Amino acid sequence: MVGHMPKEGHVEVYNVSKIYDPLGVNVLALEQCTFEIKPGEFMAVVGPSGCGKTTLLNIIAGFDTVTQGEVWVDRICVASPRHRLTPGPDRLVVFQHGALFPWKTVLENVTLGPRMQGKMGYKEVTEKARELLQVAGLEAFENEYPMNISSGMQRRVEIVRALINEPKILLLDEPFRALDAMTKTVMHKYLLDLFDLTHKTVLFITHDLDESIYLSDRVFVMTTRPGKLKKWINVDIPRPRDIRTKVTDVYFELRKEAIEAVHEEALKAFERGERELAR
Amino acid sequence: MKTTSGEIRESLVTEGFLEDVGTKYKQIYLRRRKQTKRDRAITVIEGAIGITAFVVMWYTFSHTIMSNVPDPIVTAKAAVPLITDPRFYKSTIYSFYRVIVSYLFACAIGIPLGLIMGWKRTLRDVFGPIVEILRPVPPVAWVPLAVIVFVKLEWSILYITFIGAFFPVILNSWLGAESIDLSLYRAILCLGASPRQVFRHVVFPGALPYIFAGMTLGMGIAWVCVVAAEMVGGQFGLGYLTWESYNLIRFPEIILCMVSLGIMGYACSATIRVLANKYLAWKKVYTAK
Repeated sequence: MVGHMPKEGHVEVYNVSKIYDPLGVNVLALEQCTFEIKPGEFMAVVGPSGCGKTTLLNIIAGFDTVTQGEVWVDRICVASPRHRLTPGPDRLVVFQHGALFPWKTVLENVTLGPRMQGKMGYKEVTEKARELLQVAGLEAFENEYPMNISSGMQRRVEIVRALINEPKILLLDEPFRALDAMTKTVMHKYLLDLFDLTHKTVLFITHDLDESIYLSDRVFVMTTRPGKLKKWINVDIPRPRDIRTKVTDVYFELRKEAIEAVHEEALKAFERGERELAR
Repeated sequence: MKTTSGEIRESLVTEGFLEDVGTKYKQIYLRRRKQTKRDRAITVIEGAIGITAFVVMWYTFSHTIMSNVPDPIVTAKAAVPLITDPRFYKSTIYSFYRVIVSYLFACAIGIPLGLIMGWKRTLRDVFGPIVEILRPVPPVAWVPLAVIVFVKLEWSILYITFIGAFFPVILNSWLGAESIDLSLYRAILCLGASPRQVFRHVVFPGALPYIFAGMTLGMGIAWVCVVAAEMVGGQFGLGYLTWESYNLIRFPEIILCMVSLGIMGYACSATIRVLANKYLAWKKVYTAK
């Protein structure tokens, strides 16, 4: 398993703050977030809804500006207050509600990235896409339109579409949120296997504590708005992991450690929500 | 000795070990095909019944409450000389050509402009107010100005038809580009797309259902406008012929022109519908679910 250690995909987030200004009301979404994701590390971010998780991801992906601070990927600055927004194939996002192009078949969706970048020839891309689709168990569906396959399959296609571009970091924005519990366990296993295979740097956003411990090496627990560090949880569970990991003592210990912190923040978020509604 | 799998299978079926699934499904398939054929025949018959009922009603009305309307038999008799008249065909072709030319221009300008307006904020801010103000002006209200501006009558007819088709096309394209999910725009940028590639892979295909909706509307309005413009100042065309027939008190000819307009309009919309079904195959799957 510890065959090669990846050199690519080192993400550094320095002192990042973000202020939204809708209608003159300043909302502090992120407050001085500083962390580092090592090459080949799987990091999860957990926090109550509306705490700025997705904002953090959007900043790293290059969809949103920062008010203060900097983000560096492999010694290249990708976000700072004066920086132009630069989304690109080095930081690929898998979206919350899915973003496959419904007018393109599975194979067209997957091959689109490399074809647009002109990195590979058509034949080469198709071959590589078929290979990756086979790993995902989707080789029989390459000519289907996305709406014709199940939501679990759609998610796998989206992950394949991201991976074929060989990104430095994979940004997953609550990708399994809309899936049912059973499909979710299958998707977790697929993601774990894939991670063991590729050792890409992954940033995984979720509100599900179980999911984050099960999948990641390190969990960043965020406070409710403004989002900042509440607690780091190091997940020292060896890989490869599978469903049995969830009933080990280590897992329970970590869960115990994290659950209070997360619950406390969830309560705060809930109370604030009530206050804001009452106003 | 039985060698091929087909032969082995056959023997298993005859000996009762295996159900003869192939034949069973083939029968079901053939029955289904027969059924679809019959369904189609029924649809045609139902349509014919509708048209017959309409003609019968027309006949009854023209002999009772609306006695100045020529009945279907008189119309058919009077139509015979007109159908052989080259003037009638010339008019039909003229109207058709006017609609097609104006319509193609409206699409060629309206679709790209509308899409870019829905895609880029700056262009929407620049063109939006003009479009919003000019849109409610009825195309027929353009007639006097068009006649003054374009010295040639032909040009003003084309222009008015263009105006009629243009606004539904541009507005729907605009709406279509705006309706595309933000995450699709983000996804394509993530995959390393240039602005041109964003247009080609997201903006255009994503707005296509709306574009076709606009094109269908635009086609209908183009026919309305061409007839109105020809009535005011055409030399040929179905609108002109209708108006002339009115002046010469040739009522059956009016009805024949109207029927001709109906058929032409239907053919044009049907063409667009066929195109839409072809290019929106993904959408069909989508809506079926």
